[in-house]
Amino acid sequence: MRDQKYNKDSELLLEAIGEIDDRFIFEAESYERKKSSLPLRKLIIAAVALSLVFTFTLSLGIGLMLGSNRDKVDNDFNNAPNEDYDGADGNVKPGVQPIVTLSDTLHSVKFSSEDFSTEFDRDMLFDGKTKLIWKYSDEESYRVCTISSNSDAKQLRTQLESKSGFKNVSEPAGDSIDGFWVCFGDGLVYTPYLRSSDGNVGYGELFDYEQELEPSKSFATFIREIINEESN
Amino acid sequence: MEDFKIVDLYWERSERAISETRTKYERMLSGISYSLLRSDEDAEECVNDTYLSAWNSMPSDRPIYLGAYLSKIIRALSIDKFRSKHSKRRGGFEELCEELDECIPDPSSIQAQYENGQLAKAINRFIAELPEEKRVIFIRRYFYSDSVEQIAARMGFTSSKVKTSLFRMREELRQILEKEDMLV
Repeated sequence: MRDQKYNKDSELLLEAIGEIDDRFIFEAESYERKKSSLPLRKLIIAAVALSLVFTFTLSLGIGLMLGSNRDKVDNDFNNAPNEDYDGADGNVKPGVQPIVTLSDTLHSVKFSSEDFSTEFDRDMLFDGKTKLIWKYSDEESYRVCTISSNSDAKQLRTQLESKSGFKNVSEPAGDSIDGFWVCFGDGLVYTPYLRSSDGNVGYGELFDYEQELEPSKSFATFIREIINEESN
Repeated sequence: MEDFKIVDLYWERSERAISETRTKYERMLSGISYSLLRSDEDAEECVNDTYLSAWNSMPSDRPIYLGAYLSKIIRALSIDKFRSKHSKRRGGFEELCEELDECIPDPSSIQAQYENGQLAKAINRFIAELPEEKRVIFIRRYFYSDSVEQIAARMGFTSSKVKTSLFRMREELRQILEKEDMLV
């Protein structure tokens, strides 16, 4: 017998670590260090100098910059059919969009259809954050969550961009989900639908779609798991 | 080949699934097993058992992160192998257990927490709240069984920084498990 020098409970702890979420394991597997070619002190000095310049520029030009940006967003949506949107207003409800990590319990915020179409949609298209947006068939509101984990966002984008992973499904993959979108925050929205019904018919008014895709079973399972976590 | 395509091969019962898995993940899987067992022969056996286990579990499983899925299998198989051998040889498994001793509250109800699944949940919550770099260090050490030096090289840190970071995380984990103890 080996001469055991540790508490037996440590073995259980080591075994339980084997049960951690797959997404954390994937993150650790694919982690790439951020290389720094400059000494830390130089980087700090450069960052402080840049912040000062940025603050100065911002204080002078913030109004003009915001105005230009809003014009750009509005121009991008000249063809969008949503006539209720008041582009000049541009107010987004503060704190309404939570940051979550998918591997923990996923929280969502419900928006009424009206909120979604009149205030949130265009801002969320260009805010640089990856989001899931979905709607259950028995609800009037849309649900949305922002993905804070880079590896989750990367995984989603990789799967959606490699369209070879998507194929026709012969059976409904998500009866309770009416509509589903993945928004990457750079204006690109993918619209895989999770059932073999009418797909996105009737949802075209929300976004100017880049793609409409039918997900593979594994992708549908992935999304269902994410959404199921929300309801637990 | 991308993970979902390999998983599709498993579902289609194509033997190519094994060869593609071998091509993509054999090195990583061998590394995990060897770190725990410190034996090439045993590690190779665990790798082959992992392929068999994956073949038997897909379908019905359809993992999104195939690497993580296989890593969990080989890790569990390697721990079983270590126990069954009752080896006098000092393996990575013992080394890790000695470190994790620091996380065990006194008195402990780890056994009860383990059996009712609370332990895994507590660890998941602990890991989820760590900053990304710390989380990677923790998982590389206690899931992948990487050495401190390997982690330091991977992350671009000094070994002492990795050791300090691990020490602090073990202390944080002990405090969390102490609180969980009170709930059991």
